[in-house]
Amino acid sequence: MAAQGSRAPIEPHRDPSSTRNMVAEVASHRHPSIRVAGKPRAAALVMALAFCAALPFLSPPDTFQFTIVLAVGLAGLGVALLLEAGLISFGHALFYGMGGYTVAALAPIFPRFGLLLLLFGAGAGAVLAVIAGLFIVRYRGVFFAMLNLALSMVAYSMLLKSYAISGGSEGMVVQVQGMLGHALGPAEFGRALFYVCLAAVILLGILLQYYRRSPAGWGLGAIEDREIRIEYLGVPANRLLLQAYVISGFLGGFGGAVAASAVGHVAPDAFFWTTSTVLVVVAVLGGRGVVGPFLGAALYELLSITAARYLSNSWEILLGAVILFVIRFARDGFAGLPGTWRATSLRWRRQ
Amino acid sequence: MYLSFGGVHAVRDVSLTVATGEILAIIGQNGAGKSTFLNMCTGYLRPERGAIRIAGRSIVGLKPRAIARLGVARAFQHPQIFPQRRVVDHLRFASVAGRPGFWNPFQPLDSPRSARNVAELLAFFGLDELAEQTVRGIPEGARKLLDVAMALALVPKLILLDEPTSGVSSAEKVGLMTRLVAALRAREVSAVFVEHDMDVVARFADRVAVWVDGELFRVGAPEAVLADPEVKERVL
Amino acid sequence: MLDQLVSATINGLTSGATLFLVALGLSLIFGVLRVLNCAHGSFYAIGAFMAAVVWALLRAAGLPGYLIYPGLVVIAIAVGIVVGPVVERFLLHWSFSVEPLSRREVVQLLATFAVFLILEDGQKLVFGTQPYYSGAALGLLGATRIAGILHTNYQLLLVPLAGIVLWLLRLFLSRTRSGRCLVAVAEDAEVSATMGIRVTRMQTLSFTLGAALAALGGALASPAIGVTIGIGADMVVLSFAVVATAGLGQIEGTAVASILIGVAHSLTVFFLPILDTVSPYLIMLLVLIVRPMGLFGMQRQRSI
Repeated sequence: MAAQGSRAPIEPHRDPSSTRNMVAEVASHRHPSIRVAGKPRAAALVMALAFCAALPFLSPPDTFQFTIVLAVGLAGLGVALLLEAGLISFGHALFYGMGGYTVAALAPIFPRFGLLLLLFGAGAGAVLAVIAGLFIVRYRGVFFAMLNLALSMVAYSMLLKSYAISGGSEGMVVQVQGMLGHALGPAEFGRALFYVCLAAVILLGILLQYYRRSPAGWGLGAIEDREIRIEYLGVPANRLLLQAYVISGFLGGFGGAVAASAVGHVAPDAFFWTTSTVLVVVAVLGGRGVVGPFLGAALYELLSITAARYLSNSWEILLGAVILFVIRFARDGFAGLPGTWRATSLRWRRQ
Repeated sequence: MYLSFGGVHAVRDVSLTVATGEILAIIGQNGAGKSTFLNMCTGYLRPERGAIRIAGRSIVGLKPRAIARLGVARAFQHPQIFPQRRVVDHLRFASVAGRPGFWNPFQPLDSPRSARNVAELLAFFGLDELAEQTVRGIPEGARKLLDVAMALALVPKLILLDEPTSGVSSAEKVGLMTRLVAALRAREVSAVFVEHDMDVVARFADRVAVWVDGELFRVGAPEAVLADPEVKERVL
Repeated sequence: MLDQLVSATINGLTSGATLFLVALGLSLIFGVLRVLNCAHGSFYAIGAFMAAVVWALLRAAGLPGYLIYPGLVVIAIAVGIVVGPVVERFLLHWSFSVEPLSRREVVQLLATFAVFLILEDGQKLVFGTQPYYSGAALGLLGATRIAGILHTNYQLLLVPLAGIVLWLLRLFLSRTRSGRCLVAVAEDAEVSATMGIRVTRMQTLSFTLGAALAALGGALASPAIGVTIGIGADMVVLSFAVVATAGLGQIEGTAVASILIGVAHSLTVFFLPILDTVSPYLIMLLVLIVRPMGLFGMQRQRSI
């Protein structure tokens, strides 16, 4: 029982009242994200969302950037979901790229149905995740990480070879010019895309929060802790993982579809491992919970814009250093920093 | 049934039947094959020969989860629980997650369908007060009880317990076993438990099976078996 | 047709030889530290860059070109000794004791991945973004015509050279005190520690050895390839494919898998170019579907 080692050891025959006090003390410092949001948290969340909704008016030229943050955040959310089960995917670009290319391929057929195209992109990600997942959820740890990477590399090189369909290394132009059958100008479309995406984020966030409180979502953390016990409770761990994998593929596809619609172009880079890197960074940076990856995506964009201005060639050094810092000193990511600080200061005070 | 590890007989020609509602204790020295026996019954290890049946159905070759779904639950010597989760959620998860149906795992964890089962188990094992705590902070005795309660939450026909009182102080042992056995009797669950404490065996078992070197050495009523001089010599 | 087959096989063997060296390092590190080193490709790339730079310096100084051959080995050892311990001590060591255990693997993957990002950009800063070519080093040893196609002797020699490295490593692991300690730590670090083996020293040693092997692979490969940013990333996935196909921590298995993947890759280049880049991964996927622990890997039974 290594997990309890760092906490104060509790002997079973100790005076029950003191035990209870200690238990209460320990419990009050637990990560609260699983619990139903309390009133102050809910109020903060609503205010943050209102702020997000106002962003295109506060700074119209940056609407595109905001949309990208949401897109990357959605895909990062998929990676974060698998992280809850203790699995890390270095190949989620597979679903991100799939979403983007699906939109690119179908845009000429439904040029004015932007929302429909997003759903197609997300659906394509989910379908791909079912196919890949049937094989991949049987693996854990390094195998899971690297098999995902290998799959995305396969997709990347196949894409480069199939010039006739995918445009090879030049990629494809994405022509989405409307929503729900209405033609829209570029600026209007950009704004509409942002709001559609924000609405999707809210809806998917609520659904995901529901999922995380269901046995299927709860089981992910249990798989990380003790997979064998899950099986002894009659629950197929691989099936729970497949469900999570498909959800995460859906989110990845959605993010890729949004990004492709916003940029107006897709390139094979979307499938490349560097894209997977971004998604992992976003998931780790932000921390667990539904809000984390979006925070991570915003931070990432901010960092990359700053870095592009001041250190164009050593940007990944910064990124690597940030990852090392976060996994070492802020295990629950930036969203979990207050909790981490509280726990650390508590430990120091005890010593 | 029969199983060997690289030529060493771990369990040899054991034949044992447990009646409905019966509580059977297994005693024997370390390395006698007790845990191996439990591991075979739950599908973790596969016997090389022989048959294991529950209610007439063979379970040899089934995976642990399939066996669990057939009504054989297992609790562990070292509680296999999820350190970061709350006590009550353990029981909720155990009561509903394994049920069949595609949508079943997506219903909320705290839905009413498991409420009665969970409340009953919490009360049985005296875990009410700890229900909202994370498992990380609860005493060892409570962890043990939670581990058993999770197994019972499956509503099994048979439960296999590996040293339910190990790691628990001698003062707590009797209380723990009293609760446990009361819960088993109330739900008419058969139980097989491995135990080293002979007082516990004498007090709570209906029947005792003595293991020596992978073989079944004696089976019978606790008073008779524990008084047997040969058993005393080889096991105690 | 037959000529092409022979030629493709030879090409496969020579590329399999460098692949083997890199994968061997990866497998060694995994065996002792239980860490899949995502930064492994960077060691390969640094070795290759250093070799190309040294070659350019030799030419500029007017020194005889064959000096590059001992130089390649020296470069590999130097890279291993300089980069290996620094990365292991300062960037990764803390992660070996992350609790709980279930989270350790993810944290370690992320940590090595972060190191990979840092080293990748470090290469850009040090070596620039232009590719290096040192192909002239290939020709110095002459060439041999096999089945009508000319192969440089340099590349033909890579295969026995890889065999010698394998033999030396086996000798080191079985005959020397450090080597035996390394094997013991790979078997069970906790028990080794109780027997007085300094586990942390063995961890550094294995990481250094692994890094040196990767750098050797890179240095030996550099005359035959264009050395440019990004070769490290390709290599780490490729060597993972080899190691996964073989079974993690299997030394001889790694040799077999490298040959298998090297030759298969080369054959697809000749006969089925649409699959050339994906053939190693297809082999890995096929092997893992049939044998989830790899060709020679063995499942560890967990006790409960």
